[in-house]
Amino acid sequence: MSLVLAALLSPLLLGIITRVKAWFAGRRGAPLLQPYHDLLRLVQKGAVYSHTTTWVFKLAPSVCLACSLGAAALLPSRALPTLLLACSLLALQRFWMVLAALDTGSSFEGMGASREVHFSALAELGLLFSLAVSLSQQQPSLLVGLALFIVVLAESARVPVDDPNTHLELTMVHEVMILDHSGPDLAYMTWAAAIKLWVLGALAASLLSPGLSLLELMGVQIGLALAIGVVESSVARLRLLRISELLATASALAALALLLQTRGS
Amino acid sequence: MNEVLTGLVILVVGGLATLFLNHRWVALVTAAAGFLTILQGCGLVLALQTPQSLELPWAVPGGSFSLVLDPLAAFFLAPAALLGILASIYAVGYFPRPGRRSTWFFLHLMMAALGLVLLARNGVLFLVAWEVMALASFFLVTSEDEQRQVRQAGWIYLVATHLGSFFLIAFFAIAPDFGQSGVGPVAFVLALIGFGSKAGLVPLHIWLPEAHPVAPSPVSALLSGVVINTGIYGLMRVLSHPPEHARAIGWTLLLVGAITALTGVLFALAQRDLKGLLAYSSVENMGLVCLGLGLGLLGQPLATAAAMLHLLSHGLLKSLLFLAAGSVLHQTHTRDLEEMGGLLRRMPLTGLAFLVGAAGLAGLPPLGGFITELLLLLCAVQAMQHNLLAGLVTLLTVALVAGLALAAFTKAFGIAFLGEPRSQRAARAHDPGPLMLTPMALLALGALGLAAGTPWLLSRTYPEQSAVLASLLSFTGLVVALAAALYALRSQLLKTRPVGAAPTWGCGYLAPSTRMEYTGLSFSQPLTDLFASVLHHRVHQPRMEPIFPAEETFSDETPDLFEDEVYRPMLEGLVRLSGLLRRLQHGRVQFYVLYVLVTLVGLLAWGQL
Repeated sequence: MSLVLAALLSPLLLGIITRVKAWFAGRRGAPLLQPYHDLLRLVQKGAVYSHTTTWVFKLAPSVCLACSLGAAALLPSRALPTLLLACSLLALQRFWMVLAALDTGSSFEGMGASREVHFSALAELGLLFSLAVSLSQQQPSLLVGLALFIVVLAESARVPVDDPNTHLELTMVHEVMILDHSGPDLAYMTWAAAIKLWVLGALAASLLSPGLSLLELMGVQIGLALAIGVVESSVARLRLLRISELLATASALAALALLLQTRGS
Repeated sequence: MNEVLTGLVILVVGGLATLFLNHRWVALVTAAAGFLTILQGCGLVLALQTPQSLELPWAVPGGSFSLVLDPLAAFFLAPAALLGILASIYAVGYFPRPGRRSTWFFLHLMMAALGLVLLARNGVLFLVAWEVMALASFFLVTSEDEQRQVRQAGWIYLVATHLGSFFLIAFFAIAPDFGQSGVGPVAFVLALIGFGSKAGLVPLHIWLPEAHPVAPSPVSALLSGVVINTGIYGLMRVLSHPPEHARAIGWTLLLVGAITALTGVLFALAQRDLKGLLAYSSVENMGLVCLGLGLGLLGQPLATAAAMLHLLSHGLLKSLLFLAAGSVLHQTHTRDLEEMGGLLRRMPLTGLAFLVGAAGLAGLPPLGGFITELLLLLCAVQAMQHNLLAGLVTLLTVALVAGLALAAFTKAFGIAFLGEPRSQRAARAHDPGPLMLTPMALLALGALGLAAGTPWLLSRTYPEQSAVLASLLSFTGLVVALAAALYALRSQLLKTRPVGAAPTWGCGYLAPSTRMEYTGLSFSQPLTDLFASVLHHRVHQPRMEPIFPAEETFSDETPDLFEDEVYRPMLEGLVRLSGLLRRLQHGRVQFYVLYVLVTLVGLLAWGQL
């Protein structure tokens, strides 16, 4: 059930984010269902492959989408092994995305891949810390919530870590890694990224407030999309060197929450 | 027991035979016969779970020829024999013909000595076997001794292994019963230094990234997949009886393991030498094993199980990677990642094998690294209930190691096998023959099989975790099936559509050259810069001063922190201290006569008192 919801509703989250940003900029903005139109259009197209690429490049979109769907099916949950498997599936997805980017031999995509492994290594630390903290305590803590929000922004390639709207290959992270994908492959990649946003939201939600019904979960996801839209409209992207500090802050916040909790008990 | 002994004798005799009959098939047949016999003996012990022992007369003071094959020894010996067979098959295809006579001899001797190390229960016997193993591997490491780098690495290895042996001699002098009773703190520290130097625990690891890369690749596979495990075996044997001060010992192992794992993975990431990257990754993985053992002593027995599983899967995966790297080296004649690229197109099977190994060591489901990390994290969260700090250290280490290992192995595979070839030799590479491919294929399948069989291995002692693991692994299987279905769907969709081929998108630039590709150095630079305080990554940047600069060179290196900051100053201090002795020994005979006179007078004066 959660799998179907994630698969069907996740592009809507992208639509909401775009709409909020447009509203902040004083524009009317694209229709809410635009991401669905984009996906449909891509699926109906042919594809172009670089001479350099191998089967890794062609297989990667399918693996990435399967990993996203698999992680979505596991959530929401509060069982530690299940959550860890969901994190590992996201890592598997990242592995293939990075390899597909390196497979093109392009220096732009190599740059994106390099930044992706850099940021995600630090984000994973924050994520696992928050996971351990929130499973060992009863009521949700504000610090963990903040840490998780930073992790969600970083992992879903959003401002202030990455800017999905930038027009320069040199400054992109996620978008530059999928530059060479086209047609159904690109649709898979885009859809996988949208579901990943849903997965991260579900992960954060199930850690912060256990026992959410699916309806409540949808509400949380929409709230998260609105929040991301607000952040993207009001905050500038950080310099690359500062991002490490932001991600380290997330881990530090979660560790602090842990210490406060033991101090309290 | 008898089977194992017979196997060891076959290996030694076979090794001697290769000295006279320098024929690779003689070597292979004796290796296969020896290892298979050993496997049979180990299988019996592992199935029945009953130790077998043997006492033979041995006229050495303090020594007795007492051998015991218990489940712990068999647990280490069986995979060693299996990897021994596969590495021997690979070596037949790898070594040049007619090759050096001694290589096969030392290979057989090293493995036979390793078997004796695992069986021996007497200190003297153990040390003899340990020394034979170390010397045989020294001669294997220096097989290509016409190169200066190889001779230097061999020298460092020889010094390091003997320093380790020195501490082991002291250990056996204090605790001669070797694991029959709990060790005291002094004996434990001696054992940790002696065995830790073999396992490559930081800061005793510096020989490992020097020696493992320069050895011929099948030897590297055995060194990293089998021989370093003997260090862990020694520690486990010492700790097989609950030690005194178990808590302090557990903490020591936990911290040493955490530091080793993090140092190993960071230096692996910074390497541009493909086999150097793999060697540092061995350091990292031994760190994880040590951490697991430490957490096990701190009241999490599941962590010990995770450590032992990790030994098995790391042995398989690392041997696989070294064999695949050996095929690359065989074709491209370089270990430098920046000279490779595009090899997956040219060596598809080797590339696939390397991909399996890389994914496994990057901790991705469903392979061995993922299972270990999962179990260790479960233990960490559980440990947080009563031992917050230990849980936190484990969590921090495993989480960081997972992320950084992903970076290191995407670098290794991505830079070496994907993209366009960066040198002529890489462009001309092709897959090796079946003798080298079969062992790699078997190892890759073995790694997958081990992961699938892990729930069964755990089911007897940890039924609950085993069931959870089984469900997680079958879920991963579903994800793989889903990926296959999605791929089929995509191929079906593209059948009726136009599918074109074009150069990679380069912002509209249509004449990209391979020199414009992202390099391994640039790939890892953000992370190496972030950890610059540990890595001391040095870049010799060319200076483009005038408008038309002259030809310049660029180079970079990542010297080992401990070699530069600890051992070099220490050894330089030692040299300076010994320099003081020079004032006495300056080669002037008249002064020597004076010394004799002074000594005589002194002695006479002393006699008068």
